[in-house]
Amino acid sequence: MRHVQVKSCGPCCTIQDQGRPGWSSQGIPEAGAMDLPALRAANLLVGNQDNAAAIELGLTGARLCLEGGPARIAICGARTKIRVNGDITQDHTCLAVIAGDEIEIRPAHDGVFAYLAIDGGFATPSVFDSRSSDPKAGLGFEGGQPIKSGALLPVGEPRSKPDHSGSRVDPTNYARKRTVRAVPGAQIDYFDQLTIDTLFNKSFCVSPASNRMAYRLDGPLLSWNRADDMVSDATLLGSIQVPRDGHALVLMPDRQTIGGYPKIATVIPEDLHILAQTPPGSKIYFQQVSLEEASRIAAENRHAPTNRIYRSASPQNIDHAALLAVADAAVDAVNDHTWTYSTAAA
Amino acid sequence: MIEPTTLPSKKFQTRENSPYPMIKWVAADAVLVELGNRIDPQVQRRVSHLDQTINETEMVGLIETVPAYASLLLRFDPERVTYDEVESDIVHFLDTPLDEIIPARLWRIPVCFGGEFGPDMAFVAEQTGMCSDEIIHRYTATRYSVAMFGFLPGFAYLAGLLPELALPRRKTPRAKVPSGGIAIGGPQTALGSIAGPCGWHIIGRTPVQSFMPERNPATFLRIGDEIEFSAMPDQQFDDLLNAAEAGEIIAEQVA
Repeated sequence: MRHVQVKSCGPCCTIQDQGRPGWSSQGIPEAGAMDLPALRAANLLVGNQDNAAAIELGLTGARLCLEGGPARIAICGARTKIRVNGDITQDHTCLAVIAGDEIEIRPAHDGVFAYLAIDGGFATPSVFDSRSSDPKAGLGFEGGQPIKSGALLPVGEPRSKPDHSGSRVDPTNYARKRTVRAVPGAQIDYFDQLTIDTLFNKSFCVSPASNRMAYRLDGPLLSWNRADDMVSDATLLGSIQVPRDGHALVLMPDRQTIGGYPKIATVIPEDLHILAQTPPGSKIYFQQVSLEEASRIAAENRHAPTNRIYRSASPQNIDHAALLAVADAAVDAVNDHTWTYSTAAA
Repeated sequence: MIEPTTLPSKKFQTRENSPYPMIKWVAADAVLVELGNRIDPQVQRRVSHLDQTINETEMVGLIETVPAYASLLLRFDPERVTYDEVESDIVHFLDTPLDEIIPARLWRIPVCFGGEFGPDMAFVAEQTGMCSDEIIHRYTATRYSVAMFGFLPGFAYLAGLLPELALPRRKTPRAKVPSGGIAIGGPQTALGSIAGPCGWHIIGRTPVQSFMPERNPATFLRIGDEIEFSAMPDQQFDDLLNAAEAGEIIAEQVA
């Protein structure tokens, strides 16, 4: 069986797939990748199903070593510099690696979370239909605790698929999109219009006190002035909860299933990865959308084509005659140009 | 795909002057049914009744329900049902008479109160002006019902705490308390599950494991189940804990 040995890694390195939705009534958190589209893209590149488990790297990088056989890997999400055996290579690209290869992923420089997918997916234990790490509930690889240096991660059997190494997807430019859309929350009536306008018209900063459970927002306070606390109710992925201190918390995949603070709004699932990829200290804006609009966006997203993959030609399919013709034409063009240029100069 | 036609936020009047039940769409795929705005065993029973009715009916497009003290969240697959269909189903279920509810199961949960098992017992005694025996007597004389799970997997929030035992949460939460903590926080009480942080006052500990991922069922309690606590001798704790950790459900089902 193939393994990935973790030579070294940062403190926020976990195994994630699409999480375990559907168990909230038992208090089991959803968990799952902070950036689901990036996880999907990485899995797609290596020929996996969307839900295969990948390594999620939060801000920091890692050094990994492949053991036991060849593999295809892809790293998507936050932009990172990657080296295989010391040679610089591309992220958002399907890479062919062999046993003994050392893969170095540098810390993220645009975004927060990068995903390393491998053909066959990581075959760490599955609990409640998911391999996602959940440290608080103690579920997943090594009791859901972050991956430590020295860990040996088992890799599953790949689905038989043509070799797409060299294929790539376009990276998402997270820094360009700093606005996330949100619908009114279940307790929007706890807030006056001024506070609601503040949420949707002012900028906020992602606090360094953010994690996989919640992103804390620094910036204008969102106060509410009701004497009575609300009775706790179910939370949603993306719920914007406001504790009495006025610092809003946007609930992320490792959130508690039940919450006791009023929820002013809910970030729509289609935009949550943008927030997830906003580094601490960076600005974020919220834009109000109606439920009708959120519903339309959700429907569009369901029927939108998945990430466009640019396939590289596999060696056995190359038409050598056609390639030679193109090369000849290119040489001719260069010669013509050089000739014209030299003549003119003379 | 069935396109949603409208996204209404209707209010259904049951009684004069009461806005409940209230149906609120809170996401493109989620609706919150609020049955009240306080922790009240009667409201809680309506929530668990609605939850059971919905889950036994195999409602089309339903992904999951998440019950809380006074509300029920329903998540749907919007490709399979329209918003109007969901709303009319909910109204139908709300009209289903309460007496059709299956009788609640009753569990007896053994607890070691005070001492090392309940480090906040002295504080609770001081705050309530009762001695610990009186607190144990009153706490165990009450029947509770499981209102919701949350905070941690299998962490059971219970309805039914006597008002005289309610007291504000700890100023500083404990970073880690052992499994099975019996706790009071505000007007709420809970049967703790796995070890974790806790901001409530711990008055005792049960060897019962309410959540074990490798056990089937992982969470043996269900929403609407009733619970009675009984004081047990400290000396028996370790044996029962070992049995529970081996996967045995040591809580006694009385009814």
